[in-house]
Amino acid sequence: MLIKDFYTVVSKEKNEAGEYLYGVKLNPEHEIYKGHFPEKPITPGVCNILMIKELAESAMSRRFTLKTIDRCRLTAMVTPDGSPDLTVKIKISEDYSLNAEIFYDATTFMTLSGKLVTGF
Amino acid sequence: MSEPVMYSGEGIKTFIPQREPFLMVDKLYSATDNSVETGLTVKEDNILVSEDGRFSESGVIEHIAQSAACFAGYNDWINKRPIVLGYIAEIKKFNLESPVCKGDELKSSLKVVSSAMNVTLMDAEVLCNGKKAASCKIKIFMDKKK
Repeated sequence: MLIKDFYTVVSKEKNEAGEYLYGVKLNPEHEIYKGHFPEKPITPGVCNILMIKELAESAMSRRFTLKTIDRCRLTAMVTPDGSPDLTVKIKISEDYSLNAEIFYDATTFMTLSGKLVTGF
Repeated sequence: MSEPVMYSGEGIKTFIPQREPFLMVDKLYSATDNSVETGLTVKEDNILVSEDGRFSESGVIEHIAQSAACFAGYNDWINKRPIVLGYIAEIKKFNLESPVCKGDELKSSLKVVSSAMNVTLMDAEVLCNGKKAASCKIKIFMDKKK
């Protein structure tokens, strides 16, 4: 984890479709929220992108660079107080194409499609 | 490389609401009503630099997003409007062409592609030590309701 103590993985499973489902919990005390933003803590979208990449690394047991993002939509705001529990769904194909979604219950926070590479 | 900088360091905080340890722009070279040029010196203690000295792709994207915020903030400031929070709504066609490491000098130029209501779409290109390192299209939502 690049940003120490930013989140904790609380569960992991792989479903029949070959998708990984990670349950994560954000740390609302993290120092990032001093700067993003001083009067209104909001989880930076790029930290969620980073979390997706790191969970993909965990799932495949290797280091990746997220070299391309075809499309990443941020459809709802993640706040460490209001939405600390998240589910991250990740599907990685053989050529390391990545499709991911961050959601909780009926709310989708982020969808991402892109390409992971090794040895970049 | 000694291009004039309009604002740097603390001066950037006039235009964007992000603060340490999540400040990913440290220079504003130029701004117009449809473009902006910004910079970042990637320091070793940047929260998005790994132990092996790599600046995360998420760091490059945040640098682009905060450059877009700089564009909006500068135009708000020059027109005497309050600076508002901006959020990334969408990123498309992001491509990291070469790794960015600690000590590198990023310089970015963003241009408005379209703008409607509170949403602005910009084309972004990032140079690392003068060489193209990344590009994307970024859509920013400005939260103008207070």
